[in-house]
Order: sequence, then C-alpha cells, then structure tokens
Amino acid sequence: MNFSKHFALMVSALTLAGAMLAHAGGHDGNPAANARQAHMKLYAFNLDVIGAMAKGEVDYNAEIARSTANNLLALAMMHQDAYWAPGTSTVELGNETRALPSIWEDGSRFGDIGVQLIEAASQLAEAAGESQDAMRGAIRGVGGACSACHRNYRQR
Amino acid sequence: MKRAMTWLSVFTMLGIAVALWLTRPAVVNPTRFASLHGNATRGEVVFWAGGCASCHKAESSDDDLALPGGRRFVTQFGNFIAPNISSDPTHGIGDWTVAEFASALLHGTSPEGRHYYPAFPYTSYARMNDQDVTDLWAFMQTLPALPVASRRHDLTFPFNVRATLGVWKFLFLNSDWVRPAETPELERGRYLVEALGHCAECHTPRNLLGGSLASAWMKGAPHPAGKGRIPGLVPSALDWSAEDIAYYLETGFTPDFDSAGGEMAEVVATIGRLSPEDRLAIAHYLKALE
Ligand code: HEC
Ligand code: HEC
Ligand code: HEC
Repeated sequence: MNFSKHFALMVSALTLAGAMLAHAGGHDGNPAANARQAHMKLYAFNLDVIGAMAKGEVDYNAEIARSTANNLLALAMMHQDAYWAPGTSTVELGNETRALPSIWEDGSRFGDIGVQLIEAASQLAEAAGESQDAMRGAIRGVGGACSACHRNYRQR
Repeated sequence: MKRAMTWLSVFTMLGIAVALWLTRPAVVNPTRFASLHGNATRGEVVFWAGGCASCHKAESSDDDLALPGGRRFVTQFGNFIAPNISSDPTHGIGDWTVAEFASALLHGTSPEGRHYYPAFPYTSYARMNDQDVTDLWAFMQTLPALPVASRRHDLTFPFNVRATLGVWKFLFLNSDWVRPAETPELERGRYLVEALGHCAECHTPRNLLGGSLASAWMKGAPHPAGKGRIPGLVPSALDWSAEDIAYYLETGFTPDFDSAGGEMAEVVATIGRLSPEDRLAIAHYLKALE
C-alpha cells in the first residue's frame, strides 16, 4: 500500500470517528461544538503519548512515536468545515463553546493557522521516528500552531 | 481674604513644583556604561527572555525580529500603542546611545527626559544588570530598520499627563528583589522571572493605582481586559511538577496537553527559545514561592 492511499484510509477512518463522536455528543448541546471539542481532545490525547516520551517519563519508542505523530497529522488534515458552522460561537451558544465570533469575521486567519498546524504536524511526523531529540525539537512548532489559534480565537 | 487665596495658590504651586522636582525623571550616568562591551549573541538571549517582540512586533505578525510597533494595549487608563523600537534612526531607536537605552529600561525615562508609562514593563527591567543591558543593545542594533512612525497613545485625563508618572514611580518603581534566592539556580530563575521575563506584570494583582501587590506576588490576578483571570503560579495555585512547568514554557502544552492561550501564547513563543537549563531555573523559582 503506498503512502497516500494509506493516508486517505486513515483520514476517512478518522472522519468517521469524528462523525460518531459528534453524534454521540449530540444528545446534549450543540453537535458542531461537541464535535470540534472532541477533535481537540484527540489532538491532546496523541500529544500526551508523544510528550511523555519527549519528557522522558516513558522510554522513547520510534515506532510508537511515528504512528502517533501520523495520527496527529491525519487529524490536522481532516476537513473541518462542518464543525466550524457559522452561528456556533460564544455569542449564540454561550457557555457551551469557547469559539470566538472572530473566527467567522472578515480577515480571520483561522484557516491559515489550520494550515500552519498541518505544516508543523508534518515536520513532527518526519522527525518523530528519527530520535527523541529530533522529535522534541519539532513539538515546539506544533505547540506554536495550537497556541496561535487559542490566543486569537478561543475565549480565555 | 483675597490675599489669603493668593498665598494659598502660591503655596500650592510651590508644592507642585517641589513634587515635580523630587519625582523628576531619573537617568543613568553614561560613564557607568562607557567601559562595557556589548555582545550581540548574548544579547539575543536577553531579547528572548525579555519578550520585547511580544509587544513591539506588528499586530498579528509572525516576525519576531521586526519591531515597528503599532500593537494596541487596552487598559483602564486608556489605550497604549507600542512604539517603533527598530534600528531606524528617525522612527526607531537607531540613533540612541547605550546610556539612553539603559535609562529607558532601568528608569523608564526617555532621551528627552520624559517619564514612560509602566505599560512598558520597566518596573521589572529595572532589575536588569548593566552587562545584559549592553548586550541587548548590541543585539537590537543588528535588527532591521523599519521606517514606520510611532503613534500617540489614546489616554484619558489625567493619565495623559506624563509628569504625574513621577509620583507613580516614586510609589511603585523599585529595583529590589522580591524573593530570596538561596542557590545559583534559584538566583538565575529569579532574574529570569522578576527582571527579564516580567512574569509578575500579568500574574500578580495590582492596587487601584496599578502598582503590583508584593504581598500577593504571583498569586494570580483578574485579567486587565475584563473577562477571566490570569492563573496564580505559586505552588498552592499550581501543582505542576518543575518538569511540567519547563515543558509548558518550551512547547505551550499543559500536563493535560491542552495548549496555552491568551497572552501566554506569546510568552511561550519567546521564552521557549531559552536553554532547557534556563526554563528549569524558572520552574524551580516558581516551585520555591510560597
Ligand atoms: C485553527 C484553530 C485551532 C487550532 C489549530 C487548535 N485549536 Fe484547540 N481549540 C480551538 C478552539 C476555537 C477551541 C474552542 C472550541 C469550542 O469550545 O467550541 C479549542 C479547544 C481546545 C481544547 C478544549 C476542548 C474542550 O474539551 O472544550 C483543547 C484541549 C485543545 N483545543 C487542544 C488543542 C491542541 C493540542 C491543538 C494543537 C495540536 C489545538 N487545540 C489546535 C481552536 C484551535
Ligand atoms: C508589555 C508590553 C511591552 C514589552 C514586553 C516591552 N515593551 Fe517596550 N514599550 C511598551 C510601550 C507601551 C511603550 C511606550 C511607553 C510610553 O510611551 O510611555 C514602550 C516603549 C519602549 C521604548 C521607548 C521607545 C521610544 O520611542 O521612546 C523602548 C526603547 C522599549 N520600549 C524597548 C523595549 C525592550 C528592549 C523590551 C524588551 C526587553 C521591551 N521594550 C518590552 C511596551 C512593551
Ligand atoms: C502578558 C501577560 C503574561 C506574562 C508576561 C506572563 N504570563 Fe503566564 N499566563 C498568562 C495568561 C493569560 C495565562 C493563561 C493561559 C491560558 O489561558 O491558556 C498564563 C498561564 C501561565 C502558566 C500556566 C498556568 C495554568 O494554571 O494554566 C504558567 C506556568 C505561566 N503562565 C508562567 C509564566 C512565566 C514563568 C512567565 C514569565 C516568564 C509568565 N507566565 C509571563 C499571562 C502572562
């Protein structure tokens, strides 16, 4: 199986997972907000695995590092338009979400930061299987993309 | 009666004149810096630790070495706009002397002898050592010159009268250390937190006049922009391990692998470039607070 096919499969599997999470969360609260929060939790979960190795809390394992970083990249590459449906900001949903209305305003850099995350996650996916040091160096780029978005578009 | 009034106003004016004289802007003695040589490589570390780019880069710019100013800071006293501090001789600070630069950082005084507002955190930078000021100056001169005019702040009376800042400085500008440091590592951590990193500017609450409350050092504060709180960093408020804190400063990731938001995202962007030893020294300083 070549890389891109492998990749497409993984992405569609994740899309399905995302859709299911959205559905599961749909019983209470706004489904789009629930889905994107679940997506964010998946980022955090994968970063936990990588971070524990980077910090030296668990032994570095190149195979696990690489596959986890690939998960993160796949997540970052998912089409997320439906999660970020207009009309689902803090203004409309109050405490159910921390997504600021500026995400949907003219001149928003929300999409650009999404692309920045994909780039940083690809670098991490390349570095993660190389060595603990290479991996650790690339995590900062991912963190920078997450934070850049939270800085501007997530309510404190 | 009329005469009494005249005398009263004369005394009042004299009183004001004496107060202004007593609180006149302080400057460094240029000879203090004459024999020091600046090292731009070391100055770069000071630059990242000081977080100058967070405030002086252009709004929503990713270029931390271009410092044209223009960012707006909303406070209860009005809106401050960060000035151009690029090496441009007309619009930036390219034609300053090292002593003028030192007076700005250590005393909050401009080359024209005016008080700066503490929105420029010289209240922390006042604790910098002379060699670091000189190294930072050497580094700043290597940064690009950007011909962008600085804009005026938009402040309400009486905050728009700079002379009143003398009284403020008299009350709140103090270059003493806040906490003791028993080991060289804690000393380095203290220097990075209390002087360069100006962490307390956000993480310590202020009194009504905007002075930091040393009694509540790093215990967290209401967010100046209204909603929300800036978290406390003393161990009773933050139970993260020193390694967790250092990792957060490096990557922005919390122990739950959420990522830093708010102004802290910018702090991580600059402080995260320090050496692992420096970040751990900061973490150990925080763990030693009470
Ligand atoms: C393009 C913008 C963007 C990027 C990139 C981004 N986030 Fe988020 N994140 C948000 C927004 C907006 C919210 C608030 C969502 C809501 O409450 O509806 C959020 C919420 C979260 C939450 C809280 C979820 C919950 O349970 O409410 C976590 C955890 C999180 N993000 C982690 C991450 C991590 C880790 C990364 C990087 C791998 C990341 N985010 C990247 C915008 C972003
Ligand atoms: C929290 C935001 C902030 C940070 C961080 C900051 N500054 Fe500033 N700075 C300002 C503001 C606001 C002013 C304008 C003060 C005034 O006009 O009274 C200013 C003014 C200055 C000036 C005077 C410029 C002039 O034209 O007179 C210099 C020089 C300067 N800053 C250098 C630095 C350096 C060097 C650092 C890092 C060590 C730094 N600043 C960090 C906000 C900041
Ligand atoms: C410009 C204001 C500002 C400065 C300066 C600042 N911080 Fe913060 N800090 C914040 C904000 C706002 C948060 C909350 C971040 C968030 O909501 O994700 C924070 C969060 C933190 C946290 C995480 C605490 C928690 O409970 O989540 C740590 C640790 C921290 N800061 C350390 C520091 C250190 C060390 C420095 C100095 C080098 C510093 N900060 C300087 C504003 C600041």
